[in-house]
Amino acid sequence: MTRLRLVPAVLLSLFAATTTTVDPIRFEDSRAPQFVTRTGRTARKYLPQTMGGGVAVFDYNNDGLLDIFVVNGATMPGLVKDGPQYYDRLFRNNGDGTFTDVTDTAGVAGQGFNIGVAIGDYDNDGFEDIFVTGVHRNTLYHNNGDGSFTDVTERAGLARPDPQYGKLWAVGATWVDYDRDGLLDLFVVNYVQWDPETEPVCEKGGLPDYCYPRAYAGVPNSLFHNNGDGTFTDVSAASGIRQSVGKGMAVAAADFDGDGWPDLFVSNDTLPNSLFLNRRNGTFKEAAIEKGVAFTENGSAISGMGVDARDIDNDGRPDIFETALLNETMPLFRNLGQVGFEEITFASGVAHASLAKTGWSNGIYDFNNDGRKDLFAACGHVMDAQGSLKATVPQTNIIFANLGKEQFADVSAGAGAALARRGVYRGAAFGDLDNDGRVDIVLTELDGPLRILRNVSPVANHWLLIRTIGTKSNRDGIGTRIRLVTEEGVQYNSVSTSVGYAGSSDVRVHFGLGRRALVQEIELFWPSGTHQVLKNVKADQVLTVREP
Amino acid sequence: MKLPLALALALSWLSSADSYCQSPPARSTQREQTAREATKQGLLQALEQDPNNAKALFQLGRLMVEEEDFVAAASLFRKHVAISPAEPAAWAYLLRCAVGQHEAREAADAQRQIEQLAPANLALHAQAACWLAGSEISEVTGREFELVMSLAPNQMVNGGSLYSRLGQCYEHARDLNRAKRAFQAAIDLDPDTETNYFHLAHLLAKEGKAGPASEIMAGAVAHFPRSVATRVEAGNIELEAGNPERALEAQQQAATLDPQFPGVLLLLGRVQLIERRYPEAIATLERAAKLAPAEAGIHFYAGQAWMKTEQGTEHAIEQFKRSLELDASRPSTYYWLGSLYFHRNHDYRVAVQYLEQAVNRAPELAAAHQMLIQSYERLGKDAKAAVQLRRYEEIAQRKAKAEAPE
Repeated sequence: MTRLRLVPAVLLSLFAATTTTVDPIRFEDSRAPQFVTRTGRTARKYLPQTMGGGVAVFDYNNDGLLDIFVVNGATMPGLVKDGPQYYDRLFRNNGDGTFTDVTDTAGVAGQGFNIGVAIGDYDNDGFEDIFVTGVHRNTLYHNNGDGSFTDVTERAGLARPDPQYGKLWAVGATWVDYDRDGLLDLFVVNYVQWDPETEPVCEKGGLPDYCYPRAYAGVPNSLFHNNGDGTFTDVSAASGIRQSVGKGMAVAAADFDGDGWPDLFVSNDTLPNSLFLNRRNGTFKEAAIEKGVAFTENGSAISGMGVDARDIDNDGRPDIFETALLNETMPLFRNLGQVGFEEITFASGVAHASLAKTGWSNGIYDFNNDGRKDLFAACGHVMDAQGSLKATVPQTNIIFANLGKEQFADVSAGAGAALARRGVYRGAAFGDLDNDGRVDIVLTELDGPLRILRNVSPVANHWLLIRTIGTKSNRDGIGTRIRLVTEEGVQYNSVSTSVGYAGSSDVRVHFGLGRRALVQEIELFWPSGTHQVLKNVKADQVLTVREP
Repeated sequence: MKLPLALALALSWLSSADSYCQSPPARSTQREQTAREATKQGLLQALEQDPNNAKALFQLGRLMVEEEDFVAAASLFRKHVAISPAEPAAWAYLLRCAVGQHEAREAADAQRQIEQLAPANLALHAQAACWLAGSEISEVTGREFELVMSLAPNQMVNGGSLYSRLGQCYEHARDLNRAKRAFQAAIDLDPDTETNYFHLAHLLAKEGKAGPASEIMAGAVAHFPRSVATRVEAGNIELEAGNPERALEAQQQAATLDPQFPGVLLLLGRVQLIERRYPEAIATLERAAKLAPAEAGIHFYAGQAWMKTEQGTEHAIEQFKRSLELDASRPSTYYWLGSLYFHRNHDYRVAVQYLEQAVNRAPELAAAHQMLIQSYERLGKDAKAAVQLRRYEEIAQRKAKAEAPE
């Protein structure tokens, strides 16, 4: 196959003296299941109506194919799913590019106005479970292993209202084994104090519109410890998490300080970001200011939206990519180790292109399999699509190709017509839906159809997908850090399903290998402390690795 | 050139970053300090001769309050009220001392005395209410504030300025509901003063209440139809409320009244900045700078525009430095210079110089603390970084305590 190499226009100006090239990234629309994310549109504007759109890709029936779960809204202000148009939906991947709606059989249509989703096998039975976040109601579905799920929220102890704030509005969540006991715990990102009865009335340009987040008070996040018997204990206060009040939108779990214990970064809307460093004793220290990630260089708290944390420069330390509002850029924080982070949004080339976008869900993935992780953000303005700013509300999504040396180029324009379609995008889940080694994207759009962006990037670079099966560690292997060596160099990644805003992505870890068809060495650092080494692994396969 | 009102208000330029940062009081000059010491000595001598000299007790007490030595001041004023128990001003100063020492009972006692002795003295009560703004003595604060508000209907026009000042006290203390009530009272008493509208509208805009903020300014525009200042300020408020299109409309209306007014160009430059039309913003602000070369705010925004362009870092630094030469009091200018040296030039030594200035002037500017801590660490000054972190944590704790629901 001819190796197509493009030189993005922006590079010509930035690096005229060099000959930096990048393998093209291309997407095309693939037939997606019939689904519309409903916001319960009303003349009066309620804040949840501009949120929502969470989507997950995961293999619920263990057939090796990624299925799609998508959450949905409800009537407003009633917060009731009064008909099938509001149902959350589970679509089974048939393996031939089509999907079957299995919502009824699975029993996951849900209740209430739902926002996000987190996938993880919390009971280590080999079947992925679903946690749905929503307005005043979260839901935990246990996967029965026979295609059906059971709502175990009450039994699990996750239905209790907060003692101080009452019913909370949760947006994001992540499954994370924070105490490394082999069981996935649950971190829930709560947004603001909100009640439809006291929703303020706001307008823009003489038309009703959503109020700014500053019209609402913040709330703390929640941490639930997995007791191993199907129940959870709220340890938000005991762990120190509750001390920080924010307006949380998304969470990324990663070992930011390299001590082998998972830490948590939470993006906050109009409040400083939070960085909870794991103290290895069941408690966390909030250290966002100390580590340089509370604020961006613009000096004020941004409207933090989605977040992903992966190693963009393959130095072994997870970096942070956050999305934010128009004119705020999409911050990129490079992890320097003990001294903290440096913001490289401007220096990396991400700032200029992202200034004109409002980003929501986002991910750090190697879309062209060249061995360098790229950036994607789903975009759409936060204001009402029918309001005075309607011209600016639908936006195109954005892709930055990683050029190496912490440099990125906006390659959206060359990524195909599918990328040029404007919409009020919110959710994005990342995973290889057709197992061809290229990472696809499932997108949600408010009051718009579900979309599948199939990755058709033309250069036939090699790849590897690693599915971790924990034995002493949690069964998904979430939190496992992976070091991979080819002749082209070293790469790092880790196992996590919590990616971007309100979504959950492929638990399998993806590596692009460029022209290398052989991986010389793979090291896995499991949460249990087990260190595993694999030698001479062939590329272009889904490799299942069981913890020894 | 006398700084026109609208330009001065348009140069609430750092409103987003500086609104909560009160610059420290100007340091007294050497001459003033010498004079103050001399006055103190004179008062002490007078009290040596006559320990019951009520005038000397009062004046020395006031000096002690200015120096924030509330213990010494309280002792002097207690003596004073023992001699002249019907002097409401002395009780007011005792209230100030009680606030400074967080003495709820003393404050309540002093407040009761003022209320009994001078129930309708607006100036005195407005001052007392200002001192109480943001204090932890919530019951007394509420009582005194309501007393001041109850006096409003019987005031003359000149009472407006007292309510305006009261609103500013409560805005600074982040007691926004009370601030709004005070600003509204100022407008009701004195509708012919433009700034009364501006204060209330700015506050509403900052709260995200774009509609009510616009309404207030619409009222101002109707009242002052020929005022370019009001049009410009209406635009500034629309910008704060996140409505650049409406800000542009206001700017265009202002331009029909006086296209050469620097505030008109500054507003246009700000709109262009928000709309990411950076080269246009730079050109507009350069025109504004020619009309008002001594305006720090114009250079500040020019710096903002330059830093958004790909090759503009050095120009941005130049503009911020010029802004600083013209007005060295603004924490945000120091912050941006620190930020550029930190993020763009990686010159942490210079960044520290500016960031230290920023946090000294605006201890609540958390982003400056973050960058200063990081700068010290990059320079290997771990101990300084740790001290700075502790300092920030103390400030954050105080702030959290102040903002906690009662």
